[in-house]
Amino acid sequence: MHRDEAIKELLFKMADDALILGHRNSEWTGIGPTLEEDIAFSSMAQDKIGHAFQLYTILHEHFGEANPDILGFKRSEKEFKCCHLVELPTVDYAFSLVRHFLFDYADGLRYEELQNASFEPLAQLAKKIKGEIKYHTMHANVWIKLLAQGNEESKARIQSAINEAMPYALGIFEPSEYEKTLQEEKIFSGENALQTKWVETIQTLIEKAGLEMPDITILKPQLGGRKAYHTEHLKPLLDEMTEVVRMDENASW
Amino acid sequence: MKSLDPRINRVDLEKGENAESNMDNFWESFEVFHQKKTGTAYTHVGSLQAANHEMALVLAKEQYGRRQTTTGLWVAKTSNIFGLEESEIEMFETTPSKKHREAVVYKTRDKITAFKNRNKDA
Amino acid sequence: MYGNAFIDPNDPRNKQEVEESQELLDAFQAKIDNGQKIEPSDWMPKMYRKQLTRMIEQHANSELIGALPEGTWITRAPNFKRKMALIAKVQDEVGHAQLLYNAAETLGKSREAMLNDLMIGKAKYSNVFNYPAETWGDIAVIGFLVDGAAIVNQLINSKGSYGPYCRALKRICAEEAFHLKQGHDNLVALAVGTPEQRQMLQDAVNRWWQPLMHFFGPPDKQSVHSEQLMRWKVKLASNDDMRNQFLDQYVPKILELGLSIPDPNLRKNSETKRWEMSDPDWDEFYRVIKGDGPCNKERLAVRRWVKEHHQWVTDALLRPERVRTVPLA
Repeated sequence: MHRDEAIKELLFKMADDALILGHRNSEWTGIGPTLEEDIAFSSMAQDKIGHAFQLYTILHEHFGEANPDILGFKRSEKEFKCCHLVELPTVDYAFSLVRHFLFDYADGLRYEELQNASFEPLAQLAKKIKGEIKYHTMHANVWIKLLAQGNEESKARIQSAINEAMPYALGIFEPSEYEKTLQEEKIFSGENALQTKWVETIQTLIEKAGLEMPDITILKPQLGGRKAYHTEHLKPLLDEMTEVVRMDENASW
Repeated sequence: MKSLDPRINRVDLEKGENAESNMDNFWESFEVFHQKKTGTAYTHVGSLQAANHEMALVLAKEQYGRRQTTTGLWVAKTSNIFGLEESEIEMFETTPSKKHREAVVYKTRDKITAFKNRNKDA
Repeated sequence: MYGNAFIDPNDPRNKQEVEESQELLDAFQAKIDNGQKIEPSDWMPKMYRKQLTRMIEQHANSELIGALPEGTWITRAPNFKRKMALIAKVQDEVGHAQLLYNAAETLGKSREAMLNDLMIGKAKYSNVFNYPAETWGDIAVIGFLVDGAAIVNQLINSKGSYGPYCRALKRICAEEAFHLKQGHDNLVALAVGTPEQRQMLQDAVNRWWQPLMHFFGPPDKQSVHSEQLMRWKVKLASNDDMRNQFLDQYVPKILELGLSIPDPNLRKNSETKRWEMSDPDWDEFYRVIKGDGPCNKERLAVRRWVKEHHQWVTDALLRPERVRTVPLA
């Protein structure tokens, strides 16, 4: 039973992250920086929302939770377990790219490990979407590298977005109360281990791009999301997202 | 200006009034070649704008690969593609009439049959 | 998706300017009559180049601006299926714009010049996108009926004479099949839904009917469509023929859902096989074309904002040593 609770918690936070980030990224659809990049970013938004759908489907089919449309569109803010990074408003493209870079490298490492999880449906999903995630990290890395080496302004914008996003990115790895169970059950080696791998990976890439990795030992991670304490931005996001579906709770769309 | 699109209401449209028309605002034009199935030829599928080859490939993946199966993708700078002018195409006019390159003009069966018949008779 | 490229024959810019040798013109015409396609490096009459540029450019602009009314509901689509389909659909519109700007570029006008002309209001796009998507019902109507109208137009144009435009349209028409299906799926879900959903849909049909009738341009009797453009296979069907084809295909699909069409005079004449209808308000059509529609100002303001807001991205990667090359498309 403990195992089930642990897996559910993991699935919910991953699904909520993916839904909210996909939603945020779709805010650029049709108004992105170049036509080609608009298309690429929209695809990744769809991928993320698709990942959320598949994770909610596992919750529905294996743990008796409601169906994905209810989990995605009819839960209250207090039931969401996403991290604060994905909730932040879409201000400018530098921030969106950096958020995508920081989040997707963590996501990539997480799914890589989950390919070997002892919970088969999650391992299957991790294998199925590994190609999509490979594209997400490649896309992020190419853009960060190019803009870091573009001109002074673009370099400064990317650097300041990294500085701004980093405490929130650390919130991705907010430990859960089930860390030990997940390890014992050979599902996931835990948020701390993931964070260590992630820091190594992105530090190398950030420095290779000629940017500076913030000293994370002195940063205060923005925690709380995994315990359903959210930024002021999540509630309005959910209100907007559910505006149509709330018109009639019993209608089918 | 109040928009019906909440996304638009979150941005400062007035800033757009500073947008400048500029004609030197271009990156590089690339051509995209796509392979649908292993073992088949790469086909030219279109063009795109990118800042370098690496970005061109990343962007080509979605603009030219999102709606069909893909087993390979190439990009090349448009400026590196060379082709013939319309007036030069007449070089090909007599190609279809060069029958010595066609398999069908080599007819040996009649001769072999005649040869066999001759030998039979002998 | 896209709207009709409205070429005003009375606009002095559309008059042929230069005498071209009869021999060249005849050879060009013979090629087209033969069913051959014209490629970018081929000789072509100035007027052909100019009209095609304007037509493909307007088509590209329509795709790009068309992303905005539908984008209005991207963050509010009511479930996973609709949310992903709507993002994918709007993404395709941007993808179509990309293909079409490439095709137009082969005729000599750069993408930057086209995007600039669009944002300063110098270039046209389909009038239909100057109307707002007020409710989720509008998304169903746009997805099914506006796209349906666009497909009628695009399938016809894909038989045209210019190679790069035909190639782009071939891919676009293939992708529109998904647009139409998801639009119909959305429309049917509302039509068979609760009374409120049906009402929302009916209201949207009522709002969009006149813009849809405007979509194919003024009636043939008003618009002296150029014989020349027809002979060159730049324009392939008259406005009334396209409108008629649209009504043939889509009126039954609206009526079978028990929805009504806000024109008491709409009926098919069984003898002429042509649809008869109340004359839509053509003054409004021309007013909106001139910039005075409900959303013209917003649409252009958004395009200017996109340019200004993302300029730093473009600037960061500009390299002065680059020479402009025209895409092959």
